[in-house]
Formats: sequence, structure tokens, C-alpha cells
Amino acid sequence: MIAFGPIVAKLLPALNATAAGDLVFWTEAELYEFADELAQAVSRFGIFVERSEIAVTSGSAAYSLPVRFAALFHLSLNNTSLSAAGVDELEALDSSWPTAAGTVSRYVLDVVGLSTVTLYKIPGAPGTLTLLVSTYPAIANSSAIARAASPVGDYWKYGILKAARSKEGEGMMPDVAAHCRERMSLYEALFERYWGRNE
Amino acid sequence: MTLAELKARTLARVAEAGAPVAHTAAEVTDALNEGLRLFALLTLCVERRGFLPLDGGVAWYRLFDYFSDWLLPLRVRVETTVSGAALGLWDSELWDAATFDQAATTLAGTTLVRPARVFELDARNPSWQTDQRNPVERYGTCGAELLFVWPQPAASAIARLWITYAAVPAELVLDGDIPEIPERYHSDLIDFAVCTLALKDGAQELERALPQLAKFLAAAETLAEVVRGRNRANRYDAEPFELKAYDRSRLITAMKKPRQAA
Repeated sequence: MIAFGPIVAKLLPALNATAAGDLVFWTEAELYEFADELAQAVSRFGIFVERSEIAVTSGSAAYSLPVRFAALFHLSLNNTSLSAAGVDELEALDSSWPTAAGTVSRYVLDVVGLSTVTLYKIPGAPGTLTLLVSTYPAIANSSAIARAASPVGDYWKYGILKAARSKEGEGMMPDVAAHCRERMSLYEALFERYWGRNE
Repeated sequence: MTLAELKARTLARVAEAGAPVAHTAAEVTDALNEGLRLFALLTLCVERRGFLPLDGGVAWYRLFDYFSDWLLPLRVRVETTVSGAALGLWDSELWDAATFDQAATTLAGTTLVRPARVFELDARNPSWQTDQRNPVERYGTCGAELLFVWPQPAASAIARLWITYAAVPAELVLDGDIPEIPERYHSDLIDFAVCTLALKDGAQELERALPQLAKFLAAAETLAEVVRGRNRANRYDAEPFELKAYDRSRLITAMKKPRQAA
């Protein structure tokens, strides 16, 4: 488990501060902003995978994907797996696919926008849609946590340090930022090896 | 080496022996722990074994609820008969029954569970998430902590998984704590810590410390090769990262003209 409060606290000496109030060229809030931005980069890897459920109502085919969604791995309706399809495939399969009702067998992600999943066919009974999604944690303050092994937190440490030392100003240290970037690359290679990549 | 010895030697290497000024003991401890975590991640040398109780009708489990130090699964076996209370070596109850469980069925009574992916089970049966029977035949992981089993144990059955897994080593806290990695690699933690502490200063301090990071990575590569051979012989389900194939030239070389930080 990763707790971001201790990560930022342990990072302070590398920014020449003993406490958050001693920071000269940054604010503590900025450091958490750097961490939150990095969370979206971490979402490229299959580390944070969650099972989330959406209530399906009869007659409704379109549902919004979870907030902070990065990629959809798997979807099942009432514990029966559905196949992924594209709009072009549905067009070839069934010319009346937008209004066809019956047993749901497929799901489509490219009907409307990037954050909606549409079922084919339109379900005729309520149920539960279970999604396996790659997501990323929200990091707003010291109480933020993420469910991953603690070495993943070290990646965040270097990401925050890189961002801090890249910021224009007297605290800028390009050599340290570059070295942090290379350490992050090593961690990214490890993440891809052990947990895969979403892209 | 104990944490006290590691700290003392690290401070001596950065000319801070005696009364540290630039680097506190807490900073050194954090750097040593970070090196320990990275070493374990590179080599998967820390192994533990524990059991995961399976609930009837449940296919998905969140592993951090059972193993706080979870990293990767190495081998999974299912035991479908659990008898009596867990007893210790001298018939006293222990809170940790994983190792000294004499009353329960021994490992000889377990069945190996092979890994599978969600899509493989989908191809077999789209309704695999509702299959219930004994014993569990396949397991898989999604992300850092989700684990699924197929088929699920039937509601009336008692079953559990014996899992051998790669673990995150225990953090060094007290001066007497000893790193869980093999002792001949303890000094490599000092090398990592020295380079990490140099990030505070940057410039020439960092450049001088980079060869020690290279030494740390070379040691990790050596042990990872040993662990990989052992894991293959044991037919484990995971192997360490191929550090030999990773281009670390930019990591261990000072950036004369740093590229634009992304």
C-alpha cells in the first residue's frame, strides 16, 4: 500500500527542506499536484486494476465509464463475459443495431465520446455490469493512498522530485531532474515486465 | 549487517561520520530502505508463503487484504480439506498457521493451480465467473492486487490457496534490523544510498556517486540471474526482470547536456 503523505515527507530533504514549511521554491500543495499529474502517467501500466459495477436498467444501453478511467480490460453482464466490438462491426452485423433489443452479447466503446460504453443489444432486464478497468488514484493531499506495492511509491518519489527540479526558478537542477527521469525509466521497465502496459 | 552498521558506513562514505550535518540518520535510513525495495523488485529474492482462504461462490480477491507485502505470485496450490485448528510445533496454537500447521492437511494433499488469463477463460466459457466446483484449477492476477480463481469453490466446501509469492522486504526501522536480502549484498545497499543521498546536491556530487549506482545494479543483475535459474527449476509462475537486457547507460552516466526533462 502506498501512502502519499510519507512519500512527500521523505522527499523534503532532497528539496533542501526539513519540513513542508521550509520549502523555498515550491509549496507542499505543488508537490501533491506533481504527484497527481504523475498518476495519469502510471495509468499507462496495468498496476491499478479495479472491478467496478454499474447497475443496468432495462431499456438502457449506454452507461458512463468510471471516473479516472484509463483502459477497459474486460466487461461482463451478470457474470457473463461480453465481447468487444466496434461500430463498424455492428453495422455489418445488424443494420438496426442502435435499436435492437434482446440478449446482450457485445459492448462498444466508440459510439459516443470516450467515456461511454454501449451494450448491444439493448438489455430487456435489469442487471449488473462488471468492469475490469485500469484506473489511477486521485492524489490531493497527504491522506491519499493507492493500493499497490510500496516500490511503486518510489517511482512517485522520483516523479515528484523530477518535476520539482524541472520547475523554472532558482531551485531548478536539470542534472538531478534528468537522473530522476532515468530512474523512473527503470521503474517503468519493471512495471511493464511485471504488470503489463495498457497501451 | 544491521541497520546501525549500514547507516554508520553510509555516513562515513559521505564524510558525515560522527555528527551528521548534511544528511540525517533518517535520510540515510530512507535511502537504505529504498535500495532494499528496489533490490527486491529487481531480483524477486524475497519469498514468502501464506494461505488465502477461499469463500464459496467468490471468484475475485484483493490480495492486499491478506498479504500486505504482496508483490507477485510464484506458485499457487489449492488445498480442499482444512481440518481442525492450526497448532504449533509443540501443540500450542499459533496466530500464524502458515508454516507450522500440523493439524491441517499437509502440502502433500494440495494440488498445483496453474495461471490463466481472463481472456483464456472467456474463450473456454463466457460464464466462467459463475462456475462452482472443486478443486480450483486456474488462477490469474489483474493489476497489482486482484486475483481470480476458476472454478470457484462450491458454497459448502472449505478450501484455501497456499501461495508462494515474491514479497516486499520488511522495512528497516530499528538499529538491530537486518535486511532480508542475502548478506553478501548488504554492502550494495550502501552504494545505492550514497548515490541517492547525492541527489540533494546534484552536479559533481551526483556525478561522483553514479559508479556506485552502477555497482548496485550489477549486484542486482547477478542475484537476479541466480533467482531466475532457481525459479525456472522450481517452475514458478514469475521470473525476475531481465536487467541484463535493459540499457542503463543513461542511468549511470552523468548528463553533460541534460535532455529536456519531459
